[in-house]
Amino acid sequence: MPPVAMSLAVTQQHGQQLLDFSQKLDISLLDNVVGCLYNGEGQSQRVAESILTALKEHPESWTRVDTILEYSQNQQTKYYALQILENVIKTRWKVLPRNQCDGIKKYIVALIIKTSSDAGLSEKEKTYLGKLNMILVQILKQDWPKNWPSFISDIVGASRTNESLCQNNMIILKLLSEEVFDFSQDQMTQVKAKHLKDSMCNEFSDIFQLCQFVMNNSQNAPLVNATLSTLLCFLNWIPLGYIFETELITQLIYKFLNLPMFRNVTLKCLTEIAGVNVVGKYDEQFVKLFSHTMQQLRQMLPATVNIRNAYANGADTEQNFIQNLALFLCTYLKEHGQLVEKDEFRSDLLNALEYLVKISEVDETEIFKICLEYWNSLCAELYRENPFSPGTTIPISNSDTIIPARRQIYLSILSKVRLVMISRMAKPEEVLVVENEQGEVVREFMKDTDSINLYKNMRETLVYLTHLDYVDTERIMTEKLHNQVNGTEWSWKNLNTLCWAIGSISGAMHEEDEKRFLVTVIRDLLGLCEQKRGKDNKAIIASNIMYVVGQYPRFLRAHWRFLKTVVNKLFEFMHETHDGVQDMACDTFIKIAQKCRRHFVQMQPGEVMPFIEEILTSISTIICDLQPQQVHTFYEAVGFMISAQTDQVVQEHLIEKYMLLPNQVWDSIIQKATKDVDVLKDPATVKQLGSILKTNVRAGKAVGHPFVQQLGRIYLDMLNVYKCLSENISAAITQNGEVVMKQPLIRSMRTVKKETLKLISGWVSRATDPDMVAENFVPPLLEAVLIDYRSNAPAAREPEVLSTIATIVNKLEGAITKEIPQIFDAVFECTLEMINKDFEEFPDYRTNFFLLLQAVNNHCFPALLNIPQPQFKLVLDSIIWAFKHTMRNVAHTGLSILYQLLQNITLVEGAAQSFYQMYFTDILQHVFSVGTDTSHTAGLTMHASILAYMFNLVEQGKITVPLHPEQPDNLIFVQEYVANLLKTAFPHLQDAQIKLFVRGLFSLNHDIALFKDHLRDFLVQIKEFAGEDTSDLFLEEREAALIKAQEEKLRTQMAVPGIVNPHDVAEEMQD
Amino acid sequence: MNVIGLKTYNHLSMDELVENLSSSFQVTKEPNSIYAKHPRFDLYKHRTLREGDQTVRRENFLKLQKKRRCDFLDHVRCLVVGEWKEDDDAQDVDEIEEQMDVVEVKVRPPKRYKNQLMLSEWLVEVPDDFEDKWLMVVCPVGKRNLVVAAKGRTRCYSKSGYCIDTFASALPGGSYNNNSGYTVLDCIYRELDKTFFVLDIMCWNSHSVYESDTEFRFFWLQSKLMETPELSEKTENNFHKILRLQNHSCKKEGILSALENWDAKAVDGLLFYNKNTHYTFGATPLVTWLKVPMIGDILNIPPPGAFVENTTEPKMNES
Repeated sequence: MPPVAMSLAVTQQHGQQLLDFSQKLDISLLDNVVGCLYNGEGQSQRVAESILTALKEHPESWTRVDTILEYSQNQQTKYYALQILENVIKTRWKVLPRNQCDGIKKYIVALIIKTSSDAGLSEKEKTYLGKLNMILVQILKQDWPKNWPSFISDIVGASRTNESLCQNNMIILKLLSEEVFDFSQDQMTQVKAKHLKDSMCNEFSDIFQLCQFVMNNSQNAPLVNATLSTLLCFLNWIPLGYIFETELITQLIYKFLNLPMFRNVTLKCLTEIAGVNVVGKYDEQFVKLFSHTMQQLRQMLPATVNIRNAYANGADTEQNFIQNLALFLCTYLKEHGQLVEKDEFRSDLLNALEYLVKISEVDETEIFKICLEYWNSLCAELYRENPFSPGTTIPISNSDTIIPARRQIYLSILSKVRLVMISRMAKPEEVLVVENEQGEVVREFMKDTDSINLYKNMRETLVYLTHLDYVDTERIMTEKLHNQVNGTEWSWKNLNTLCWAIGSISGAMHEEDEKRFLVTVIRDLLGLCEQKRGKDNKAIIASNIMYVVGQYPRFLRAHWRFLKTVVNKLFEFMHETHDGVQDMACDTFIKIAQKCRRHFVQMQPGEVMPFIEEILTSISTIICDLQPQQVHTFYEAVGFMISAQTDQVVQEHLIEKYMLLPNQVWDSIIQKATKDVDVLKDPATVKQLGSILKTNVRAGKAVGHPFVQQLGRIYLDMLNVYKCLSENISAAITQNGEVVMKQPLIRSMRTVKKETLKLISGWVSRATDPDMVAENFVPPLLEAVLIDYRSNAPAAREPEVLSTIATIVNKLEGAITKEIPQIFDAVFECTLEMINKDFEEFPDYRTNFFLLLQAVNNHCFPALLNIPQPQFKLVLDSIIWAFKHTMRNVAHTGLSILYQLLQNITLVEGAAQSFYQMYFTDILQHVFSVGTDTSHTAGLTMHASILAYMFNLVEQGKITVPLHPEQPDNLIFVQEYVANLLKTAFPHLQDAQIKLFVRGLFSLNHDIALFKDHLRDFLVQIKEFAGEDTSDLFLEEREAALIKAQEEKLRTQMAVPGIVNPHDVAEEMQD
Repeated sequence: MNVIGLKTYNHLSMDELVENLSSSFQVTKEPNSIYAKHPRFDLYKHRTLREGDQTVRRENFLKLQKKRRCDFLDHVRCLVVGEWKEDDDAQDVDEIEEQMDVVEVKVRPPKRYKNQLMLSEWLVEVPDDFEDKWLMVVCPVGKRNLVVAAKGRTRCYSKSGYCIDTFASALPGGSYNNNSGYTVLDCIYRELDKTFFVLDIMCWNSHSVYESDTEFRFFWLQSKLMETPELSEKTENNFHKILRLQNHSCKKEGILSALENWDAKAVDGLLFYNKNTHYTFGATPLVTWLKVPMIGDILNIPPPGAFVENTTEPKMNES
């Protein structure tokens, strides 16, 4: 047939034609449809897609694959055909008749042989060949070794006939190895995975001989390369004898390592070998591995080599080599370093360490991290063997005797490592400037970034290094500081880096040494600041001085005059207009306030009053040039100081003075509002209220429980304002619709409501007197927010109402049980209405709703039992709704609530039985439905725990009421129920599979880890059609394992007197 | 060195460190910075400044004022629009202090909204012509703001250039129905009653007075504010009250009678303006500052009783 133009519009009719298996397949039409899928647009493309999907799912379409592969003119069509084939192999292999399986097998093998036997064709059809290889491996996973026992010897035998073929076979073996050893967990049942691994190990001898054959004899570079790559894959599982009791290691080192083409893969192999962790055995081989490799390396990398430049200027292969070298040395030294510390290997060791130091200077973070891991473990080890650091306070008579022998080996290398660490110290914190929901630009401190983790590891290493030799550390830092001052290394980046390093070793030296060191550092930095011209320079230096100072609270606490001067200088900087200085001043201030708080409230020698009094008197002057966010930080900082005052009377006076300014403005607003409530619609006023409450929130956070004094002062007015603003918002929405929610004034009002709730929940979470909270603060709060929540338009409700109540429940626990009905009345149903339409809308409400439910379930369970039946069912339905979410936090909360609920109700005998009667099977059904759904695998542990618990209840006879009227034995009923459930849901599974699965549910429910594996195996099986021959499911082995587990379980139970029903105990035990 | 000697050495080096940290450590070089202690009352500070230093600098500032050229109209336009261009052949305000010997210096005003205000130093050396050539303003407690009214909106900025608020005012250019012309003022904002107190004027209705002397600016400000009584009331078109701060003579009677009209708690301090100074950017010795309790020691004027109670300000003769 003549080729059809790609632009032919595809129609349903074409689809019917292709799906009609009674006719011969029109290949060019298929080509056309595939072409339309990839290159077409709009309606045509959609139709093409639906046709191809239908075709792929058709159980007979695999029969056409060979025709397609042979006659299609379009590469994409061929790949599509292969997808069909792959699908059938993965899911329906077991239902196909044996002869058809064999047919497919032979076909694929022949096709692979044909394509791979010719080197040119192999190269040209590389992608196609790769896909064919994958298909073969999928077949192997199903059929090998049982239905293809000769596979390994076949493939090995064929390999010796043709080099190109051999090369492809190596790739196949590599793929097989990966599928069996690396990727098997979720793809195969456990028993099957073990079986395949054992088979591969048993037949490895043939494969090994083939590899040796190629390595010894072949001149074909690509083939050798493929062989080495495959070998690399094998190394992490083959029996150790192949590695250590053959010539393999020597061969790798002497034949391949120094050849540019193979050095990378060879080095990787050696690394894999170096990582083998086996104590005592093969020490000699490990030592030889090291010294021979070092010998080769010395020829490849002269001692003077500049690795840093080589990396920077090198091509990919050079860069990879350096990375691989780092991995090799670090892996080897970490596992076996102590073996080569002996004198005879000392120079090799030092040589290797020199290389590592050079590699540590390479400008590439990933490589540095590799080296860092090793340095960290070495330093930690050396320190922990002798956790003793010399200091000036200890008289040293003969310094050599103090240093332990092992440390001496590494002395000079560690000095170089120190220099490297200090020179490239990572940044300790990251601040992101973002816009929050309220439209405000805020600074956020990032917590867990890569850079911060790098800093943590470097800091730890540097601290160990300082313990190992603080004199050297100090010397290096002091020299680098001099180089800043004399200009030879001066730059902002270098200064920052040095100061991060200096700041990181706080506490590592003895106090006297540390003091001396710091005085020098700060003196030099101050001199540098004076020397440099221009505000940019001065600002950077000032930031660094304050950073270093802030890192040494021990020094600050010991020198009051200095501390006071620093804080006063920070106050000066809070008026500095140069970019970033005010932020730096506030950040440093809060850091110092937290760590030295006591010193600000104590009377210090030489002073007439505690410094806090001076601060409080001058607050308005200090903060007058700060932005709102900075003012809030300032207040939080001062709050920490106040929290350190233990004398209650004094503290009360401080708090009053502290909140004077915001209270003045607050009082004046309240006064005006009392006369004219419309004042609360004035944008400037509402904004002021928001700012005042934010100050209160931050202050309360720092002061803690004692903040009750301030909270009590504004509490009732604050709740009145809350109600009033809420009414304003509602009225606005009623009048103009939900679109008003975007207006600045409405958003401001919501900010006030949110900050009110934040203040209350923050304080409650820190309160130390739950009774006082329950008596004084809860009733007005509930009165103000509950009805308001329910009567508000949904989008105008504050999700923080839910989280605040949750906090209160968690703090007050049982004491608040009597309020629960009222609370539920107000918030439960109306919130559920918002979130039960789908899984996404109103995410904040969603999360908070379930957090509240969890809190009530945990602490006020009796309240849940007392609510009327229809509402209780609603509660249960909502819990089930929760764990149907794929959103992990919601699902997890839902499952936790369910689990706790089940445990709670078991304790309430009467209620428990009616609960089981009404809900047990429903719950079972729902948990199974998510438990067997692969999109919920994150919840596997929880699913397992809950199911195990439920089955336990049944087994132990805790459920006394009949779960089904016609079956008096609950155990039998549940087993049958579950079996039916699964059979209905998964009709393609065999009865035997299901029976075994159900059995395991009851034999393994005493061990969650086993239970979990059992569930996971089942998930794997669901994906496959089992067919007649279920022997591949290893049902017998599985059964045997279950019997064993059951016996084990019985044994454990017997150990506890009375657990096992006396009638179940075997005769002979009863003497 | 014996052990005792070592200890003394340590003490000395700490003393030195504290000294350096407190005195010469600054980002912006500000002699007599009002955010640090007044030099005469600072127990830890040794006299690093020469006697007569403030006086000499005052003279230099006045000399420089005559040589300085700056395109203030363009500057106001930039403030209004919020955009500044690169201008390389002019110099930054900070740098010119060093060049006293040139005939004329072209100066670039500060970009963006920061550093726009004329700020003060502590009054350390009382000038001979203090009573004749200086004017005093009583400063209420509040936040220093730059106020720019233009194109129908009024905006106020903090010292660092952060835009605090946008609202309508009766200043020329400051509200929708009064949106022609530009006005730039130097104010103090009092949060309690949401009122702006005008310290100084840089531009009114597009007419710039950066290069006019203080006496004229204060006079002109007074007449403009009197012409616009709407400014003193809070209305829909004037969200905040904008009130005048009176200026007074620096004779003893002038100062004391001025203070009689003020509640002690509401006063932050006293500003003294040299009558001849133009409106310049940043701290200048031609505008000086004192807290009221200090006028006894510095000016020999006993402060009224209400201002001295309950204060933590140190006196000079306390140890």
